[in-house]
Amino acid sequence: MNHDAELPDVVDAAGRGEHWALTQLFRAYQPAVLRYLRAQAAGAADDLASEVWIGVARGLPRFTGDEAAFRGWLFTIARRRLIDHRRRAARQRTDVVASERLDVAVEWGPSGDPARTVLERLGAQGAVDELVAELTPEQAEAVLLRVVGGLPVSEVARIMQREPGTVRVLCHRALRRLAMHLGDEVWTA
Amino acid sequence: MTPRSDELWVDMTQFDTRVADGVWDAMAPDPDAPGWYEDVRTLVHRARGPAEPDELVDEPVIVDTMRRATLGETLAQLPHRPGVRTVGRLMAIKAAAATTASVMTMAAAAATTGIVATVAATVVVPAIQERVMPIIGHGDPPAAEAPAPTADDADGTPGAATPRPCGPDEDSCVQGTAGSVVSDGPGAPSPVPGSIAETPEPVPAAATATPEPQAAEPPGPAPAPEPTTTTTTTAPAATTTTIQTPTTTSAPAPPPMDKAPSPAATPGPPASPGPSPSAAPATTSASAPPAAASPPPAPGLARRPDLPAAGAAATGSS
Repeated sequence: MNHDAELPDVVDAAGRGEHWALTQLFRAYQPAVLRYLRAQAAGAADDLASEVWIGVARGLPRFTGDEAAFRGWLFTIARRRLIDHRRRAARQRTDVVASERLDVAVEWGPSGDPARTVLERLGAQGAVDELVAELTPEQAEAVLLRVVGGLPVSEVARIMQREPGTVRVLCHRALRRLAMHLGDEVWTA
Repeated sequence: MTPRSDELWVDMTQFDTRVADGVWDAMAPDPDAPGWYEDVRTLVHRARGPAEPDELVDEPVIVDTMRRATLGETLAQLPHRPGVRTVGRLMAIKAAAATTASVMTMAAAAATTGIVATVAATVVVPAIQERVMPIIGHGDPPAAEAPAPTADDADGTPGAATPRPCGPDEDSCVQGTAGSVVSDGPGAPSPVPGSIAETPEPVPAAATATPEPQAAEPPGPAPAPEPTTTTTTTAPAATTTTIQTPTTTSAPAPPPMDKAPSPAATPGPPASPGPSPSAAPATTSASAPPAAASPPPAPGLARRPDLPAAGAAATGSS
């Protein structure tokens, strides 16, 4: 769907509680939000995504802007919910492991396929997890917002409350890590 | 490890923002990119792929919740922030502590500065004597303690110095001002008859039995000098007593079912302020009116056992 052309009308209708508009927004952005959350808090991603959409629904009547602004606003809410979840998890001291990760670990056993074939067989969430598996938390967040969220560097910097140059450095270091990780795997396979 | 050229390409992404953006957008293949970058492009494309079925499983529930949230309905499943309750509880505790501290500070300051004692002495005690004591009936002055009234006292002229001290149940005595007495005692001075009539015993007969020549006369300023000498013993209360006299005499006027010893017996000027024989009847007549003067319990006072006894004591002493 062409978000630039349709989004303002969709947002206006969604702000009035129109069911079709809310459904369209959810279907367009839920995958990215869920992948972003699952990559960082696998066990609580679904609940966090629900909280994100409730927050979006509350703020819809006051929102004004284009598709890029809506995307940035959406991931800002998602990141704040994620931070709240991490604070709660730090107090609870329990780590939930998503079943998808366990399934992938079984699939990637010693008798598995070659690495390139495995990458091509990966699902969307598997690709996201593989992309940030070797990165530091800050690098992973920058790459996730950049890749999964589809946000420009300036918007990523605003959401992370960093300078754009810092975000570029984070992305560069993330690429170096990926080069070391993927290069070894590919060339040793 | 990657070859040296690949490291150079990676370093290029740090300085060339166009290359860097192209790396993470993964839109068009870069001919200078190393081979492993194809894996990165594959991952990026996969990560941006279309929605998978498991990602939209919650659509009906979430969209309905969003619709209700948009319309402003209350969401029961929304998590309540415990911080709000904690803050409210903390504020309540602080308010209670501040109130307690302020009350205790005020009480301590009042006790230290003596305000409490002053207020109690100037307000509470007079109010109790004025309002409470007449009701409970403990304020009747014993007739024996009352000095003999003078001719002025019987007359009801308030200006002269009168010897009779005021009882605790007398409003005028409590007030101690002439103005209040004027307001309390509106009646004309027809003093003694009513008071004698209040006494249930025929004690006033003794008073009538001791008529003195001056008593037969209408009240006048003639015996004034003697009361003046009499009041020297009870100087502070004399003025208040003098003020009270009209009040007491005006009130008992309604029940004039007395034995009519009134005008002859009352104005008997005593020779001495103490319980002289001639003063005894006057004492009876003068002490009774205050008891009867308290407006509401006028008949009740006559029925009280202490009042006749007091009158009897006075007459007995005489």
